[in-house]
Parts: sequence; structure tokens; C-alpha cells
Amino acid sequence: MLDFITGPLFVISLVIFTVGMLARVVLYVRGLDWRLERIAYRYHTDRSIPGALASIFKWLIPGGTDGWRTQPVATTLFFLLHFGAVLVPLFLLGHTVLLERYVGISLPSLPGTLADILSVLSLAAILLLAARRMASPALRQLNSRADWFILLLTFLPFATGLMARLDTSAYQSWMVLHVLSGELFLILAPFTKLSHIVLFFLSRAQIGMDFAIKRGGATRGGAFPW
Amino acid sequence: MREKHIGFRTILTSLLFLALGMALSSGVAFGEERIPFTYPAFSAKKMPPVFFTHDQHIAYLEDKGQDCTACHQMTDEGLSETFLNVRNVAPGKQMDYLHATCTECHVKLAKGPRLVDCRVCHSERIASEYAAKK
Repeated sequence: MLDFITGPLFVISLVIFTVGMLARVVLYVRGLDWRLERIAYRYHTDRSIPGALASIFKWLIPGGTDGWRTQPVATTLFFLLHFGAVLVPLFLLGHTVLLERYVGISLPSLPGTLADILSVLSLAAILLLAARRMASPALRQLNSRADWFILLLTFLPFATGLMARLDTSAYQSWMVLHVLSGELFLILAPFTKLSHIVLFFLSRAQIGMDFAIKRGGATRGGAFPW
Repeated sequence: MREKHIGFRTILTSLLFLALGMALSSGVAFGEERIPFTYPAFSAKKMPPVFFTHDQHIAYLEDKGQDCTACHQMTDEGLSETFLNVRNVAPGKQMDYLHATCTECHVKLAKGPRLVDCRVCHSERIASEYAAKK
């Protein structure tokens, strides 16, 4: 079973993830309507491109925007989750060894202790963000089934990965569950709100272009307080 | 009301996963004779060193009618003490070579840890057990 889930099933998951995400990008761009949104996307590239880049860049920085600064606790938890969620899957030593052997891509790896810390912080952030969602009446209204589902999809690879990391007598069972939950994440990402992995960049770019082209963002040197 | 229901289901699913993991126990054997992999001497120490179940491998190979040359090459000075061709592999490629040759055999025979089972071979417990014995 292990050979199947780490071999063919892993390749299938990666293909679904990659093709699905590319499809989401294409559909997003094709879904833009300059008449509906009243943005002349193709014109004013001197303003729109820097605007798009500034919007993406500022939202990637903790506290880089008003939106981040008004909710410091949520922002902190959000970034703790995302540092681990981006760095650990790509740069954990165990993952880079597999990637090099099976795909031929050689990536640098995180020191083991740092990877441990990032993973624990991510898992803690997921649990605290879940607690926040349940505690706040506004978030209880806003959060849908889909929002909870992607939190679970993210929780499982971290939880099973850390259980495997503990190197208990059930190590290989945890590893099977870890691989399966990681593949579930990859397969479902394009069809769920996890598609924000790529769509974040597109929606930030779109809003950045909007504000730079027609709302005076470009006149503020990229410091428009969105 | 709906949100409470989903929250409960989230927890329930996690617990089921946890229980499944506990139930599927692996058969890592203990107390058997192991020898450390000393060549090549990796300096980075990123993972615990490998203590190899030599006796277990001999027993398995004997069962299959194979001898030492399955893993040790014959040289002018006699049987090589190192694994297969690892001495002739470029230093930067030796780890990859060992990972590849060990796990290819395991995959082929559908037995033993695969590349994804990092800590079956690189076990902190076993490494510290052997360090204490020294």
C-alpha cells in the first residue's frame, strides 16, 4: 500500500493540484470584466503593474497593511500558520530528500529544530484560529462549512506529520496517514478555498491595479491605505 | 447552531484519525543486533545515524539462497566492508546513492522501510540506545 500511495497516488495528486491550480488562474483571469468592474486593465500599465506588485508585497508582510494592523492577534496567528504552511512542506529535510530522489529537484532544507518549531507553531495557530472563529459571533456568522473544511485539511498533514516526527512505535502508521492527508490536501486544494494558494496573488493584483488605475493609489507612492 | 455542529464534526474526525493511527501499530523490532553505518562518515548530522539490522538482512538473504555479494563487492583485497559501490560514488552523491540502493531493494521485495519511512532507519531512540552502550 505504501508503494502505491507514495508512488502513483502521489503523482496523481501533484497533477491534479498543478492542473487544477492553473485552471483556477485561467478561469480567474477570464472571469475579469472591465465593464463590470470599471477598470481599464489593459491600459495604464505604468500605474497598474507597480500597483499590483505593491498590493501583493504589502499583504505578504506582517503588519504591512491597515487590514493587518487593525487585528494584531489574528494577524499574528495567521502568519504563524502560513510561515509553517509554506516553508515546511517545501523545505523540510525529509521532503527535500524525496523530491530530489523522485523528481530530481534539489531544494535547500530547513534545520531540523527550526522545522519542528515552525510546525508546532502552525498547528497551535490553527487551533487558536479555530477557537477564535468559534468565540467571535461575527466569525460564527461568516464562517461556512467550506471555511472549516480547509482548516481541517491543513490541520491533518501537520498533526500526522508531527505525530510521525515523535518517532513512536506507530511511526510507519503515522507516516501513511501523513502521506494520505497531504495528498488529500493537494487533490482538494483546487476545488476548495485552498485555491487561495494561487488566487491570493491574483485577487491582490486585481485590487492593486484597481486602486492604482482609478482610485489615486499610484499618487501615494504605493502607500495607499487599503 | 450549524457552526457548533461542524465544530464537533471537525473534532470527531480528528479523533477518529488519531484512533486509527494508534490502532495500526507498526512492527519495529527491538533488541536485535545492529551495526552502525560508518562509511561514508557524514559530517552534517542532520538526522540520527543509521544502525543497520545486519543479522536480519543476512537471515533474509540466506533464506533466498543469496550470499554476502548481494551487498558486498569482491575486491582485490577481499570482500569489501562497505555497501555495494558506495566507495566509488562522488562524495556529494553518496547519501543519495545509499538512499536509492537501500530503498530500491525494499520496494522490489516489498519488504523493509521505503524512502518515505525516514525514521525507521534514522531513529533517535536506536541511535541513543547504541550511543549509551559504547
